[in-house]
Amino acid sequence: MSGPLAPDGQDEEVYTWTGRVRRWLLRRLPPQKLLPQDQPSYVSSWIYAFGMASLAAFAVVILSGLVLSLNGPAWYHVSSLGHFTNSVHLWSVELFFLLMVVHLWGKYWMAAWRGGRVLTWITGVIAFAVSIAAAFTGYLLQTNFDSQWIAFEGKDALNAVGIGAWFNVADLGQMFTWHIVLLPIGVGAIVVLHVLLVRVHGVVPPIDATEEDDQVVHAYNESEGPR
Amino acid sequence: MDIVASAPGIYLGWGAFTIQLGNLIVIVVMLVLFALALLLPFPKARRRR
Amino acid sequence: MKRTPSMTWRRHDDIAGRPWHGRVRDYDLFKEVTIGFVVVGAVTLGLAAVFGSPDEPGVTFASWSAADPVDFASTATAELGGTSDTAQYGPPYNDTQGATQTLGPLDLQSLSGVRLPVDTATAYVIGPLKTLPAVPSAVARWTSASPAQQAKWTDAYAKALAADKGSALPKASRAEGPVPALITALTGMARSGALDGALASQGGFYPLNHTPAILFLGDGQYFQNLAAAQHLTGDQWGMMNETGDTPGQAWLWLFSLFYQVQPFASLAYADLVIVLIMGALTLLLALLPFIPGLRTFPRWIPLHRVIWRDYYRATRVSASTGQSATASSAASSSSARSGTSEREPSAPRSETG
Repeated sequence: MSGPLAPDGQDEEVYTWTGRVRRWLLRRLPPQKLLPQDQPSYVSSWIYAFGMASLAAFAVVILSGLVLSLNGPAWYHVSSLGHFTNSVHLWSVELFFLLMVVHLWGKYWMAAWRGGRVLTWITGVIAFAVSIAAAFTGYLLQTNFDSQWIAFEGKDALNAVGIGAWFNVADLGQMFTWHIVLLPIGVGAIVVLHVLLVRVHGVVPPIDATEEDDQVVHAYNESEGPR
Repeated sequence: MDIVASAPGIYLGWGAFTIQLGNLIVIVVMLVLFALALLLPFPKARRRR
Repeated sequence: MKRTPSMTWRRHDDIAGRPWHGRVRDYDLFKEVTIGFVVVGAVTLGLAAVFGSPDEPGVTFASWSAADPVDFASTATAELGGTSDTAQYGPPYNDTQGATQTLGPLDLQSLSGVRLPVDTATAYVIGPLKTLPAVPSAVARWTSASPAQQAKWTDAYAKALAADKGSALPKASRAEGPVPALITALTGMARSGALDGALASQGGFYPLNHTPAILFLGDGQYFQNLAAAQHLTGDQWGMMNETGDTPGQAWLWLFSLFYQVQPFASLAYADLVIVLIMGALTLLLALLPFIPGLRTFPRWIPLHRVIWRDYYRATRVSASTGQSATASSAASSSSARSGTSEREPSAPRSETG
């Protein structure tokens, strides 16, 4: 099963689709880049925490949503644990958007698309838009007055652009599929791509950074100290 | 059976603009967090070992 | 001379376009993920425990007909007569001419055709009445009449209901034909809960599609009044709001804003225009790195000088003193020997990957 291997393993001969894809992936994202142990010294501001915080909120959204959906849409009306889980789901969504938008503000003021990072920016905006769609479908599943009203109002926007017949906000079955399957997968996939792009390109350096800057010229690991 | 709707939330308004207090708090928190994130000093790298 | 880098997205052969070979610090990705999850999880649990979440019970036809019988009757009459908003909506519910939202030649609403057909007279009045064990004779009288006669009857009864300021249905008159009997019977069905059941089971045993019921509810003033009391209607920034005190969807602020301002707010095709505008603005946001001016704005309001102040300060110090700034930035007190660990600024490297 093993093919001819160069001593350092890097220039392994590839002769299959699989091999070619593997080589391409490993060149773009070797393990050291995917799971690094250090980061550039300019990543030293609290604004950098908001991307990770958004991800954490997203994880809480998924987990609480899992509990809600496994118990069926009527559960949270009649169970106090259900009601608490619903509250967790609501507040994790509020936090998710809160943190994600602050993350967006930070990335804008850092002009984080520089240096060929435009896809990172675009996937971020798409993640935001798809998240809004996911939240909208979630509100439709509440099976209470709010969901009745949102369905009644929301239908107008969708019908006006001609998709209301296929995205029927009053059809609980349809909305369930969108909200617990398609849109979480959509958000998740885009977010994974977004994070991988950050790993591939690295965190964008400061605006106006040059090769003559002190932190470029004197390169060492601050956690080890200057050598 | 009468639907007894709970009281509407607190709404603040200036002219045509009304905002629910909860939403206003969320927006204010976002702005405050953004400002704090920019201004609060970030811990320096700690020496390993 | 130092060239001021542009804010372009393009990858040039500069610091932003090359992998970073400068100073680093330790970074524990998994530890950060764990801490982030614990902190955010704790904050969420706290907020949920303290503030809970709203759960306004839904409106039923039983509750509606009990709370506002005249409004229920008026709405039912409009459905029977085909004059309600739903009956006049156009695609995807029915075929009403000229009902769609159009912008010049653009008529997206007609794209699907009548894919969710709702015949309001049948779906909301005649159909449910026919499920009764003793179908009122008024049903046969109605269905055997001509459309013109039916319109006359419903028109007369609608007028009587509009003049009714009380909570009891008006006395029937000859000009109204079988309509008062139909509506009274329907009201009886609603009060007993049978109408909720009949509408739900129109789709069979497993009702998941609530389209007819939602449309019928929305045609009534009672439902609209409940929403307005909770600040949920379109002209109350309602898209952003939630019942009670809980924050709603604050991120819909811009979408909601258009429904408050002229000329958009009073357009017949407001939904079409506003959805298109929001789509365009979202696209603009996604393509922002390609747009000069918009992407240069961060340079004019330089918040980045606050974010990266340590970096810029070190560079300033180093440039002004002409020597290594590591002594001032190193955490340890041991003297930094300048020169020994410096890397020569080298010729631009080709990027990997």
